[in-house]
Amino acid sequence: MQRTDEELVALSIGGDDASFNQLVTRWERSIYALAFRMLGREEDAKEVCQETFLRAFRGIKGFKGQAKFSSWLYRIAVNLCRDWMRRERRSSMVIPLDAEGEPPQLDGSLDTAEDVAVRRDLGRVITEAMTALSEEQRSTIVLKEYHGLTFREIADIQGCPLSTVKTRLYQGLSILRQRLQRSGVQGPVPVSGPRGTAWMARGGRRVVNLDR
Amino acid sequence: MTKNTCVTHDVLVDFLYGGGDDETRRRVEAHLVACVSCTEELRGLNEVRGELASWVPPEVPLGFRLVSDAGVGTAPSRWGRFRRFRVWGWAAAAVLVLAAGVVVTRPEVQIEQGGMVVRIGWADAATAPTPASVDTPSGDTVVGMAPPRELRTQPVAPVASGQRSLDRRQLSGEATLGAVVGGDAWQQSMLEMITEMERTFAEVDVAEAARVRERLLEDVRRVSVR
Repeated sequence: MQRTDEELVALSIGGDDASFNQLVTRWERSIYALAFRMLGREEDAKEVCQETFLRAFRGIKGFKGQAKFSSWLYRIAVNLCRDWMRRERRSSMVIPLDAEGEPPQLDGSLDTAEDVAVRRDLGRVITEAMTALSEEQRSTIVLKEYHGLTFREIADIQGCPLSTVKTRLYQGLSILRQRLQRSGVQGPVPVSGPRGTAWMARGGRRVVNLDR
Repeated sequence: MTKNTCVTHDVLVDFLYGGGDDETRRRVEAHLVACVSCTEELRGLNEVRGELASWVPPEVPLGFRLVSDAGVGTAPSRWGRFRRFRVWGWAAAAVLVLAAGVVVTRPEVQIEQGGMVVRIGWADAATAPTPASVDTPSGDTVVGMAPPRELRTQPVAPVASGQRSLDRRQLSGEATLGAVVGGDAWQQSMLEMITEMERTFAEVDVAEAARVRERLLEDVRRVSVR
């Protein structure tokens, strides 16, 4: 039976390194993805990911369980990304000239070469669009869109009021919308009929039913 | 919020992400039916979210693992550290002694006709040995290198009273030559030989004396270039 994060944390605090390694295995992919979307570079993301777990290991005895272990990790990673960007003067993300890795399939189906190319181009456009966001807007969108944190959890991580999180989210999405439209990625959004159904399925998001 | 009042950004974001209570959601939905602006706003934000969903980081191998440093190598014992320090200490001391010796003795190496000559001593540049010459009775000059200072205190064989003796410069020169090409015994024999030569000059005729002199000088030259 798989142990919960809380159980593994308790064992880790007791000196069980193997339990901590299980936590690493469980969360390294998420932390890496967070760092990659914040920094835009694979190598930087790896560095931040490693440093996140090192800091977590050093500070795990001080983790009292007020928040979820994952939220605690996210907080460490977000702070590291912020420091990284400030230290490296990376107010904007560096866009790799060539794809450093193969974008994985979204739904497990076999992709054609054209699908892969389209997704890679789209990823590059989004990466570029994200450079227009502030650190706070970027981390808010990443934590909400890709990691499913609640507004409250994001507010705790960022140390700001709930309303600030929502404002950052709204502003960030609006900026991205403008940038994507300028890049030709975003067109008129179908909200009804077969195309609308397909679009909603592709996005996989809960959308308001405007057909009523 | 009414049908004629647009929703705030906070409420719109709540609605976008499925938040808010049921009553608020019903009111938002009612407003959207009547408000083109808010409907367009929501549509645009939803589309951005759809595009963001396709942004996936590249697959990379991670596999971070905590590796305990306990047992990786052993810490050097106090004795081991001391022993290493001792070896390095000796090496450092040897270098210091060598450097001090070089500074104090100021060795000079020169390649001369008779071979390589290494001079050591406390002589400074102003008092460094200089080439000295030996004036032979025939007027020929044999050039040699003055010995180090401590070698200059060679005892000089007493010259018989009433005999022509070499002056101090000549003695020094001969001692110098002896020191270079031979030892103390050789130096002494040369001195005796020259004394004998002078004595012979006084006893034999001039022609015979000239032959003896030439023979002796030839010996001196041969030895000096050996």
